[in-house]
This record gives sequence, C-alpha cells and structure tokens, in this order.
Amino acid sequence: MVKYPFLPQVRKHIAELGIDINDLGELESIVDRAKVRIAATFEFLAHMQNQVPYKRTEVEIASFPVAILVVTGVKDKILTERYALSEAKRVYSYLLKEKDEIILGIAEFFEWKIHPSKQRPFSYVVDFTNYLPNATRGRLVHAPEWKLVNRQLSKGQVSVTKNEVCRLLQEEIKKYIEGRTEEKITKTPQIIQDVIEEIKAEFLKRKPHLTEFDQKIQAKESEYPPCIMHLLDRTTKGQHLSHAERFTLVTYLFQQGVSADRIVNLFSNVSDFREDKTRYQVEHLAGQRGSRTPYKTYNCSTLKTHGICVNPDPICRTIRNPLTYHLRKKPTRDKEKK
Amino acid sequence: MPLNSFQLIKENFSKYYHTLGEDAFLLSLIRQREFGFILFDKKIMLRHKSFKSSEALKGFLISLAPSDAYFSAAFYERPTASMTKKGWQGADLVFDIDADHIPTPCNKRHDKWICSKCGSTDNGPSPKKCPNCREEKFETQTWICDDCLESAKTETIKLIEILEDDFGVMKSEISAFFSGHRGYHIHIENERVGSLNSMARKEIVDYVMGVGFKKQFHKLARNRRKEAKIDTVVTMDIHRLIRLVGSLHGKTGFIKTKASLVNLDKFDPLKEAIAFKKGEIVVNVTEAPEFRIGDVTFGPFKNVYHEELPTAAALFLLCKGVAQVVE
Repeated sequence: MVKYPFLPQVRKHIAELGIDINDLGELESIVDRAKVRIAATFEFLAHMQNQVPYKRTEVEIASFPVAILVVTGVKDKILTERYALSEAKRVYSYLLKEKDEIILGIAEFFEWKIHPSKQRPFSYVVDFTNYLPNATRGRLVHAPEWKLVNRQLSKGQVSVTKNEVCRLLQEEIKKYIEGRTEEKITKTPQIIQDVIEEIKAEFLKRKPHLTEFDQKIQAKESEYPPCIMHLLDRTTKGQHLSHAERFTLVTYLFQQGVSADRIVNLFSNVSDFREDKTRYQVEHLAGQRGSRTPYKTYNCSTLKTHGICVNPDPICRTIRNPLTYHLRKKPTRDKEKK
Repeated sequence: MPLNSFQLIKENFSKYYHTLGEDAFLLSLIRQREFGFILFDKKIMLRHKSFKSSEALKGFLISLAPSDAYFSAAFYERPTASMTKKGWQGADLVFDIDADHIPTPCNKRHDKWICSKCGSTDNGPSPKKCPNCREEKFETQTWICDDCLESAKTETIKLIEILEDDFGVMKSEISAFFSGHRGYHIHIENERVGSLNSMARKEIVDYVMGVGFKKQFHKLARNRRKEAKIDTVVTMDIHRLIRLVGSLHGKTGFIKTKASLVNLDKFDPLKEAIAFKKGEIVVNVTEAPEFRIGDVTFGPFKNVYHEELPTAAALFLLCKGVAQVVE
C-alpha cells in the first residue's frame, strides 16, 4: 500500500485509519511528507528524501492524496505533469521487482486486458486497446521499438516483456494522477492551503528554468525542411494539394510568422482557388477564427503516415517536428560561413 | 450544370429517400451523432445537425434531397455544439479504401487529364509536366469500372483479414460498405476501440500500411505481414464525417450499401448499389467512357443527343456532370 497509494483499497484504508484532524502533530507530518513528494520534482527540497518513504506507514500513505490535493490547488500544468511523472516513475521502479500477481492486479485496476505469456522473451500479452494509448505517450511515441508495426500482434494481443509492461503502466499511472488533479476540490483545510501557496511561490520562481526554452527564431525560406519546400513548390506551380498537405504547409508557414495574406496568395495558382474560401481556412488554422487556438504542424511521424515526408536529409533524422528543422540547420550554415 | 438537370436529380433523390425504411441507415446512438449535408444548389457543407430518430432524419432527406449526406463516426454529448464544445465520447474506427489510392491499369482507359494552360489532354493519371507546354497544373476526370472497384475490394478483403487475425476484431463488430463511388468503407463498433485517441489510431494506420516497419524488430516473426492500402487521414480523424449508410452519392446516384462479409468477393457494387430501377430519361451526353449498371453496359458516348437511358444510367451521367436533361 505504501508503494501503490492510488489503489482503491488504499483509499478505504485511509478512511478506516480515522486520522484525527485535531491531532496537529499527525496532520503536520502528513502535510510535510506531501510537500516533500511535490517539492522533490522541481528541486525545491532535496531529491533524496523523496526516494525514501516515510517511516510511519499511515503518514506515508495519507501523504499521497494530500499531495494530489496540493498539486490540484496550485493549478499549474507543468507542475502537475512533473509531479505525476515522478510518482509514476517511482511506481515503475517498484513494479520491476514485483511478481506477476501484483503487476496483473495493478493492470486490472486500470481495466487492462492482460495475460501472462510463456513465449519468451515476453512475459505478458496486452490488448492493443491498452497498449496503444500508453505506447503513444511521452518518450515512447518517438521510439521505433514501441511502434505497433514493430510488435508481435496476434488476435488483438501485443506481446511485451516484464520491463515493457511496467513502462506502459508508468504511463497509465501518470495519466491517472493527472486525471485526479482535474477533479474539483471543495474546501481545503488552512494548513493545506498554506502549503499550496508555498509550493506555488517556490515553483513559479523556478519555472522559467524548467520549461524548455521557447524558440522564437523564425526560419528563412532557404532554411525550410524538404517536405515544406516540396509542398511550396507544388503550390506555386498550381498543383493540387490534399487536405493534409495544405494543413501541413499552412500551419508551418503560419508558425514561421508568414502572414495570412501571403499564405492566401500562395494558393492563388491552384485550379480550384477561391480567395474567400482559402482565406477562411487559413485564418481558421491560424487560430484567428473559430476555436481561437492556432493549429500545430504535424509531427514528422504523422507526415510519414500521410506520405508527406519526402527526401528526408540528415537533419531530418534529428528532429521530430518540421518546425525545428531550421534550428538545426542554422549551426551548419554558420559554420560554412566561417 | 443547368438548373433543370439539378432539379431532376433532386426530385429523384427525394423520391428515393421516400421509399426507404427507417432502419436503412443502420445507425446506433443516433442522438449522439453529428450530421452534415452538401446541397446541390450551394456547394457548402451544412453541418452540426442532429436528429432524434431515423424517422426525423428520413424526413429531412426527403425535403432537402441533398447531394451528399454524412454522419459523424464520433458520438458526442452535444452534437450540435461547435467543435470544441461537443464533448467527444468516442468514435467508431473507420477505414476508407478508395481506388484513388491504388494504382490500377484501368485508369489509362477511363481517367483523363487536361492541361490547365494549353488544353492538351490524354488518358491516364496526369503527368508531372505537360508534354506540350511543360506546365504542371491539370484538371483531372476520374471514372469507375469493374477493375478499379475490384482492386478496392481486394484491399478491403485484405484489411478485414488484418483486423480479424492481428487485431482480433470480431466479424460481428465489422461492417463493410460500398461507398457509392470508387471504394469501400469499413466501420468497427466496439467500446474499447471506440475510445482510442487519434495517436493510437495513427499507430493502427501505420500497422496496416507498414509505415515505420523496421526489420530488426521482426527476427522472431513467423509469418509474412499483410498490408492494405487505406486513406490515412480518415482513420486518424476522430471527428470525421462519414457518408451516411443508405444515402445517395452525389457524384453517381449510387447508394452507400452494406456488403455482406461472408460473400464479399462476390459482391457486385454496380448491381447492389443501384437506387433507381424504373423508367427512362432522355439526355444529351457530352463525353463518357464505357460503364456498367447491373447487367447492362453503356457507352462509350461522345456528343450523343436525345439518348433514352434507364433512369440509373442517366442519373449517373447527370451526377458525373457529363450529360444534360433534354426537355
């Protein structure tokens, strides 16, 4: 229960413990431990402390829901993600050492269809409907060995090793914790409210260093990736582009700061061009209409799915989204100058 | 298209919808689906519609007689709300297999391109550059024949095998349809599959098409993998509008028809999908390659006047935009 505080039987256990809110000493230890759980995820308090569960089981267990309460109260997407990731990673490290029945029990809590397998090197078969939502999250989505096309799939069952099933569960648990922080909270005791304020203040101080540097350097036309150059070339020649191709080109150009007017103009050679229609669509993708959020350009892997990735060069192998191509291209160009 | 041709098509479409039984749309969760329509007069999509029953949907089709009718593969809390407020609850897994995506030898016979600059024209898919003026912009005309429909069907059968053998989807959860034009649709209704997001569906697409396949991970594999050619965008789009089952295709006047999985190889779309089986219409035909409807082959036509054709054949040419009604 100390290791897997999200399981339903733990919730029940906490209720039965009947922790006395008036016993300040007890509550303080729980809240302190909850603070450490969160603080360790952004280098506010020592990292080591996080790895060692608190010596008193009750406190350790109860600190998990309290930590969730605090994270929910801070309402910061990046903190939530970091916290969920650290809890999920911890569970992953425990799971690696567990026997089948514990792993299966936890998978079943998440309503997975999973069975042990004797076909070595695999230990389990997981239904593809459980495999896919997790294997397409986080870092896994970029690794070819996690792609379904590179897995053994039979009658809906994906064969996985023990290590892999733990890794998939890590994603499931992360998603679960993120989900719990979206639940509405009613009233929080003052002592927890204080921690929320403290964590919030400390986190905001460190946040700029934690988030990836927001690249605002825009590409020149000579630095566009091959796929975009190809689409651009075809458009200016007035050739027909599929919906996915137009989407790719327009969202890319918009993100590079090209104006809606110039983008609309580009399409004026296309045989079925109608300015009003094209303008509407371009402005929609740019987030100037409708949902008000600019659409993001497809990742390289999606461009491959749609057959839009053409003539990839060595730089393409190092990027995941065409929008970052020019950032890699720049250094090589600067070198050439020297 | 002249007004009277439009009117004639609309009248016939409306009559067809009148004859339909209410179970013709084979729709589950009708209240949670979004519907969309393209009208003959305005070539815009009328969407975010919803209906309480098949009866209401049927009434709408009779009175509007749209050129094309669609329903969402997704089910929503609020199907009439704008995209971000709909409340997505899940979506059938849909595959689109279209002759457009399969290179067939028959497109040499019945498809054609016209250079937008110099007007040069020839049969087959458009070349990269016009052999006459080197321009790279073309208008294209596609047609349907037994060969391209057959190749789409072959891909469909391969896809169904992959879904059953590899993905373990049960036959009872798979429905196959002739789209009414150049291909087939596969719909899968299953709660677990229905909840998959777009990223997960992309992995299914890559698996079916063999995208991202790396040999090094398949040393243990016993069988050779099967692949099928599908439209990648349709399957990944979890908000997609799909042609309504039982509705007419505006480019052909054919019905989107359910095809039995048992005898799919013997399914004849140009017989099963025919909506208009009675009467004749007199038309002028500008140009049309040979085509078959039921057991009868028509054409080829070139500047033929006052041709009396069975309703289905005449409507097909009218919908294709290569014929006009003679008053």
